[in-house]
Amino acid sequence: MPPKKNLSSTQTAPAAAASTTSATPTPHNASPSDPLSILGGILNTYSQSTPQRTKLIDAFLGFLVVTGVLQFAYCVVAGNYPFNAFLAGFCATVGQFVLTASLRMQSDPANKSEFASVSPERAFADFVFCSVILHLFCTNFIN
Amino acid sequence: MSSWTFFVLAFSSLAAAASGAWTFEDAQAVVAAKGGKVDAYKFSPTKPIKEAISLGPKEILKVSLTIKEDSKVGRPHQAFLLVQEPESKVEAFFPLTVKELSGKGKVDLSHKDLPAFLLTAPSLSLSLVLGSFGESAASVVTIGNVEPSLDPTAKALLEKQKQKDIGGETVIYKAKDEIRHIFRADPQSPPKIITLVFLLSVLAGLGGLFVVWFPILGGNLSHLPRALKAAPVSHPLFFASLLSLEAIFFMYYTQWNLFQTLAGMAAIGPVALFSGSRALREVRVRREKGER
Repeated sequence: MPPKKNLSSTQTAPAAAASTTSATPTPHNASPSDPLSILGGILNTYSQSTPQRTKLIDAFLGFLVVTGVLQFAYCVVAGNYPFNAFLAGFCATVGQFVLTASLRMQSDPANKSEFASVSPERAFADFVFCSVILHLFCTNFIN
Repeated sequence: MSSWTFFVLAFSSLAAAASGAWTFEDAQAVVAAKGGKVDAYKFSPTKPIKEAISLGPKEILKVSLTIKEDSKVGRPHQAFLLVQEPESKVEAFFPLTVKELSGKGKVDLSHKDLPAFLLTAPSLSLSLVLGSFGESAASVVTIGNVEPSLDPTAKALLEKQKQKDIGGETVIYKAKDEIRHIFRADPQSPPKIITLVFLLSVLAGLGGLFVVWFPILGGNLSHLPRALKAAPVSHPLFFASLLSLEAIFFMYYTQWNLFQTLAGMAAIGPVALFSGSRALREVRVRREKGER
């Protein structure tokens, strides 16, 4: 197995500072007290220290959230007939979100110590398998 | 009731030759009061009492007769006096006490026997019903009419009792009016334009996803040539098998049944597994080399 030092440097240094979720504000700034600059600090840290693969996954998560909100808004606006169609669609969105979130957790390099036995590829294979099963059940449930 | 009576009488007269019929003779109805005044009315199966019998509060109507099955006296299983209010068809019946050997039956009727509804009616029809097991035909014979006469205080009390009995409304036990129930309309799908708007917004979200993936984050498309060089069969095969699985689910939604779907999945599944493991193995090699 090739030694770990061959991993690209952009991933190791900031990854050590970051945790799994979008990180806490960096301590070396002048401690900002208003929420807007805290938010800005969070976003900054996120964009700098999150690896690109994780950001791709985050984009997908954001898409799923938007889709879920749209589904719920449709249900509120246009009624829930047929109800199982709404449930199937919403469950698909939520289930996919859960699976993608767990893929993100398992494949993030910063979490490598907690998921030592699961390689990112193995996590992706599990993700694909579970997504296929989710799609089958949701297609069945739409009726 | 009258057509039934007619039918039974006709049938019984026809059937009298073949089998017996229940009938009666020596019948009389006596209105007896404590004061001593007695009115007697005679009747027979063919001649009912013409004038209406008035029944006061303290009077008792005694009906007595001899019951015969054809020509010999007998005791039928059912012998009762039917009191019916003609308009609403509400009725009450009073069984006769019949002696077995002589066939003599009698029954007493007074105000205390009648329910409030019948007592407040202007006129009640009296019938005699006889019937039993065996081949002898049953008979329902109209005897006459009785008019219960009430004094005003009793009438007021009875009206109150009647209202209490039937809950303040003139509801009596007869067939009610037909209820026309209007069922709630089936739920309808919303107008297509709303569905279309939301569909377009979801597709816009998908478009936004692709925009974020490729231009903004740089979707690693540059890795593709290297990946394909290392594993030319596995990557396209894996991608194609995943797409075909989704196509199978679409067919399941539109046309197929579950078994066809499972058959399709059983065919494509191993392909996906095998090619997927190869493809991901290649990815891992590239990741460990730091080229990702």
